[in-house]
Amino acid sequence: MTVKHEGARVERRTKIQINNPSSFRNVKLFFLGFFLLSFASLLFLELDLAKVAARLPKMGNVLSRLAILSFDKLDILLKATAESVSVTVLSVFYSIVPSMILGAFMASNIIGSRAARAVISWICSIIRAIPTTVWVLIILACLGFGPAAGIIGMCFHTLAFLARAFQQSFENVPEGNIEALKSGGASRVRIFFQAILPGALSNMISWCAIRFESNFSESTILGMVGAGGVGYTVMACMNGYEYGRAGTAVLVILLLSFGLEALSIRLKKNI
Amino acid sequence: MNKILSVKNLTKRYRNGITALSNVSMEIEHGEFVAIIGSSGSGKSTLLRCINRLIQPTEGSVEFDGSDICKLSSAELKKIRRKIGMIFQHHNLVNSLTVIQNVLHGRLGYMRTIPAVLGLYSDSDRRKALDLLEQTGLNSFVTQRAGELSGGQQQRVGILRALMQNPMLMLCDEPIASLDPHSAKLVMGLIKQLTVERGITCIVNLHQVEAAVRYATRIIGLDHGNIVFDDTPDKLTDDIIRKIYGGNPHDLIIGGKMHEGTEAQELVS
Amino acid sequence: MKEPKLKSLCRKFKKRIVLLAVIVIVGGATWFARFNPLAIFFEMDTFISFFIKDFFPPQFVFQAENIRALFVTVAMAFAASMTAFLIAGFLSFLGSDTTSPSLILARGIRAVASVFRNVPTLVWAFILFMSFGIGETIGFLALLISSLGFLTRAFIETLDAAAPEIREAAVATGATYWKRVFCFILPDIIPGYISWLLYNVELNIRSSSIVGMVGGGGIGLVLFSYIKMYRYGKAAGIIIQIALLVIAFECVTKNIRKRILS
Repeated sequence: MTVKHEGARVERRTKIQINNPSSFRNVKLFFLGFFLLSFASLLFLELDLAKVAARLPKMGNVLSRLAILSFDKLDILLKATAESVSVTVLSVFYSIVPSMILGAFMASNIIGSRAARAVISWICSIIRAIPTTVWVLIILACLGFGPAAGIIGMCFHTLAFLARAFQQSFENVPEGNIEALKSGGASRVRIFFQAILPGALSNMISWCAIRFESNFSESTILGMVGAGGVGYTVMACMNGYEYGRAGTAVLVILLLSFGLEALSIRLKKNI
Repeated sequence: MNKILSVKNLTKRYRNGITALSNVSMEIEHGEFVAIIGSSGSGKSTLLRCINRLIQPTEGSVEFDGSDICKLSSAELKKIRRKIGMIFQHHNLVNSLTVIQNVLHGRLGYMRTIPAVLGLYSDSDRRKALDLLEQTGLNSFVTQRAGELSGGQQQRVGILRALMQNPMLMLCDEPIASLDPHSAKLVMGLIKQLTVERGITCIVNLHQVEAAVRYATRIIGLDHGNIVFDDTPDKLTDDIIRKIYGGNPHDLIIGGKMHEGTEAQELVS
Repeated sequence: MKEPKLKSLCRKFKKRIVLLAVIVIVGGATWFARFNPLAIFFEMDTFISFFIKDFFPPQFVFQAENIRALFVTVAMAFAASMTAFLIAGFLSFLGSDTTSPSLILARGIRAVASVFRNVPTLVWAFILFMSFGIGETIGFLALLISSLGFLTRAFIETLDAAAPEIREAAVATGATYWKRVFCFILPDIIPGYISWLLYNVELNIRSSSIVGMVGGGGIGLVLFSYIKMYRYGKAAGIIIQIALLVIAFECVTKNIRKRILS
C-alpha cells in the first residue's frame, strides 16, 4: 500500500510543467489584481443602473432629437468650428519649436549630464500630468476668456508631451549617423542639425499628427468649460433645447475627428 | 515502390493573370528526400502550399493517403493536414509561449476542443515532447520563451512541432534561408535524420543548390511554374542549373535571395 | 530626360505647396482666433502675478467628500477600463476581417467603434448628463463608451497585425478555428492587448479627473466648483492632487509594463 502511495506521489511530482513559471505567474497576477480592483471599483461606485435603465427611453429621445439635424444658424456653427480648429492648429504650431529645444535638452545623445536631463524630465512630467482642460481653466482664471486662453492652456500640455516625444525620437536616431559627424570634430549644435534632426524628422511629424487629433478633441471639450468653440455650441444648444443644432455640431465634431484620424494614418504610412 | 504523394497537372493561376504553377506533375515515394530548387518566382512556395491546400489550386489533383486533397471537405482536410507536417522559413513559432508549449501544438489536431483550448495535454504527450527535445539537445530550453532562442534553435523546435503530429510527410519551405551555416547544417541534418531513421518523406524548398545536392535523394527543378528537372542529384549538370537560375552556377551557392512574394496567398481553412 | 525633370519639378513644387499651405492655415488660424503671440509675451508678467496671487498658497482640504471624490475618480477609470476590456476583447474578434464570421459585421463593428472613439469623452458625458442627470454613473458610462471605442479599434489593429505566419502554421497543423484562436493567436496578441489596456487606464485617469465638470462624479466636480467660486487656493490643492494621481499611475503602468511585457 505504502509503495503504491509513494509511487502515486512521485508520479504527481513529476508532472511535466509546460508554462514559463515566472512570466506566466506575472500575467496571472496582473489580471487577477486588475479584475479584483475593478470589481471593487464597480461596487464602490454608486452606480444607479436601475435609474439608467429606467431612463433609457429618455436617452433614446435625446439621441433621436440630436439626430434630426438642423442647419439653422449655420454661420454660428461654422464660426465656432473655425475657432476650435484654429485653437488646435496654433496650440500645436507654437509648441513645436519650444518642444524641440526641450526635447533636445532631455535627449541622452545630446546632453551628457544625467542630473540636468532628469530635472527637465521631471518638470515636463509634472506639466504633462495636469490635464489640458485643467491648464486651460488656470489660464482662464488668470487671463480671462477667449480662444487665446485656450491656446496658451493647451500649449502647456502639448509642449510637455511633444518634448518627451521628441526626446524619444532624437534618442532613436541610429548611433552611426552621429558618430560619423563626431569623428569629424563637429560641434554639438552642428551634429544636432545635420544628423539628429533629419533622422528624427519623420517620427516628429507623426507625433505632431497624433497631437492634432488629441488637441482637436480637447479643444471641443474646452468649449464646455468656457473657452469657446464647437463644444460650447453643443452645450449652449442643448441647454437651450435646440437639439437639432446640437446634433449638427456633434456631427461636425465627429467628421473633423474622423478626418484628422485619417490624415494621421496617411502621414504615418507615407513617412 | 509505394507512392505517398501523387501530384497531377497542378496549375495555379492568380486573378491578376500571373500563372504560378503550370501543369506540374510528380510522384513521390515513401522515404524520399526531395529538394525543390528554383529562382524566386519559380513557384516553389506555391507548389508546397498547394500540397496541403494552404493555397487553393486552380486545376489538378493532389493524391495523398488515398484521397484527393483538392476535393476534400473542410473537416476532412483538417484531418489529413495532421499527417502532413510543415516548417517555414521564419519558424512561425508563438514567441511568447515556451518551447515545449510550441512543440505540443503539434498534437492539437488530434485533441478535442476543450482540452486543447485549455492546454491540457496528456502526460504521454508531454513526455514525448520532452523526449524529442532531449534527443535534439534542446532540453535546457524547455520552459524558456520561444522568442529568446536563436534562429537555428527555433527552426529545430518547429521541426519537433511538426514531428509531434506523427506525420507521414514533411513540407519544408526554405528552412535554412535565414540561418547561419552552422545552424543550417544542424537543421538539414535533422531533416535528413527524419527520412533515414523515421521513414518520413520530406519535400524541401531550397535556394542553396549545394545543400540540395548534398542531402537530397531527388531534386526537382522549377522554372516559371514548370518542372524542368526531376532526377537524382548526380544528374544535375551545370547547364541545367544555369537554365533554372539564369546565372553562373558558382555564383549561386552562397545564400538565399528573398522569400518569394506571396501577396495573393489564400489561406483555406 | 523629360520624365525625371518633371518628377523633380513636382517634388520641388510639393515642398513649396506644403509650405504655402502651412502658412495659410496658421495665418488663418491666427487671424481667426485673434491670437497675437507677441502681445501674450508681454502680458506674461501679468499672468505670472495673477497666477501667484490666486493659486498660491495651495490649500488642501481633507474633507471626507474630497477624499471620496479621489477614490471615485480612480474607481470610474478602473471600472470603465475593465468593462471595456472585456467587451472590446470579445468584439475585436468579430471586428477583424481575419477572424470574423461575417465581413459586414466586422465593418459595422469598426464603424460603431470609430464613432464611440471620435466623439470626445466629455461630449458623451454631456449627452448622458442631459439624459440621466448628474452622477457617478454617467461619468462611468461616458468613460465606458469612449474606452470601448478606443480599445475595440486598438485591439482590432493588434489582431490584424498578429503575424500571419503563425496563422499559417496553425492551419498547417490541422487545428480547427477555436484551437487556432486560443492556442496560437491569443498567446501572440495578449502582450499587445495588455499594453493597450494599460494605456487606456492612463487615459481614463486623466479623463475621469475632468469628467466631473460636465456632470460626472469625481474630483473634476470638486475642482470645477472651487473655480466657479473663485476659491483658487483650494483649486490649486486639487490640481496638485490630480497631478500626483496621474504621475502615480504613470509610474505604476511603467512598472507593470517592464515586468510583463519584456
